[in-house]
Amino acid sequence: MKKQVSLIDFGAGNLHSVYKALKFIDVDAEITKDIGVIEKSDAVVFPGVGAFGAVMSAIKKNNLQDVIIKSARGLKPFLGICVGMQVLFEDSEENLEEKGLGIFKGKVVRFKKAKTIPHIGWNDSNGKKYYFVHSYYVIPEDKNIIYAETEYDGENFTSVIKKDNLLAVQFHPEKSGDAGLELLKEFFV
Amino acid sequence: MLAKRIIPCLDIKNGRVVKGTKFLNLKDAGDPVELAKYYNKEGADELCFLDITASHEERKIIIEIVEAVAREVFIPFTVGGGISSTGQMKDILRAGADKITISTSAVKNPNLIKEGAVLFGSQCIVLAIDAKKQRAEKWEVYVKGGRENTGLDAIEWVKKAVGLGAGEILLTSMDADGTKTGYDMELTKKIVEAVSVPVIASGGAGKIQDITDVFKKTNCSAALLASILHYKDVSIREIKEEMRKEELSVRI
Repeated sequence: MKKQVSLIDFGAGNLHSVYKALKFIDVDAEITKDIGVIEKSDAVVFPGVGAFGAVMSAIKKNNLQDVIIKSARGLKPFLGICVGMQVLFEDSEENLEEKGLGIFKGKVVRFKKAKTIPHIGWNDSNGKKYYFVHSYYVIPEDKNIIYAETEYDGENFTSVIKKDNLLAVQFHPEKSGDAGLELLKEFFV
Repeated sequence: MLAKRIIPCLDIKNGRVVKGTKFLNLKDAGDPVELAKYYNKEGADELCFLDITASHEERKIIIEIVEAVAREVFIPFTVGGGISSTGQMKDILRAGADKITISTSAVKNPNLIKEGAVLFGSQCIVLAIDAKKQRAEKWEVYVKGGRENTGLDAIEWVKKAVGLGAGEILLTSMDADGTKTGYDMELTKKIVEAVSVPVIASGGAGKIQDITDVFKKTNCSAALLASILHYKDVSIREIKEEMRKEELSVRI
């Protein structure tokens, strides 16, 4: 049986890229904002591109915060991507008014040392190179959830967190060639 | 460590890749999807499609190409050529492209950079500039494929564009372009120093050493390659092997 994967739709820019990558590895993915569909699916992908505040207000506008929190804390595989990783935390330097989902304690900060921002391109995480595009990264309070770190211009940051069935990545697996497709396959197939 | 990027640039006309498809042992080397797959396999870090189609109706074809590439190739790609509105940007991004390059339209209407950045994020907006030296330490911006001098100072223009929200700069030196004698190091250095966003160097690469040189001598983030890949028997693999030998950070 193929896994039914819900891609949470709140208007994220990279939603279709993630969808195409999942289709390519033969995963039965559905783009949806239907809470019932999300709750029934076998796995959840929570993508995100854009600004922290914009993503949070889109989530709220679509009344998706509860189902995201429930899925992230639940037993099904849950994958957060980029800003979809960041909003799992409490708050971000990018937007001081809009709070995150607060599933994990910790905050999102901007690169401090880097001369070139955004951090764009292929960088190392768990011994492989993945494609990154971001100016902010998460600092989890609970260091046990840190699964991989990445170095950029003298600054180390958390690029992957893992807790139970939840995996969240700062890079874009859907744009990381074979390495990215392998990660998605391992997670969903 | 962040890898220096190698970006092949493909010119698209009427839905077909034009220029330099003769070395590739592909069934249909003019097919953008076939070529995108080929360069992906070769180790390209990103792809750039430049739409050189003249007529308006034919613009729909580029959307179909973007969709087809996005279904099968999972590395970032940029589309440019004649984009002059956020509506066009939206169509191309929605079809699956990751970034848009704008050049002439941004000079005409700098606010387009801002509108694009607000709507889609700075990471989607790449400002392309064609710069030509006027005198010592002075370069000016040309538009319309290098035919028209705007009189704008290149360094001032990129600073302004980044202020408006451009997330990357694609810099082509008109003096070096086509010479195959190497990149314009002086200009590239100046532009890299002027802005905080990544700079993609373009124009002048005639041999592998030109590429390793531009990475070692300037702090540019990527090299856009056209004729060296299309007309010469140089592969991305060979370029990257050489980069690695020169101790540059590379994705192999």
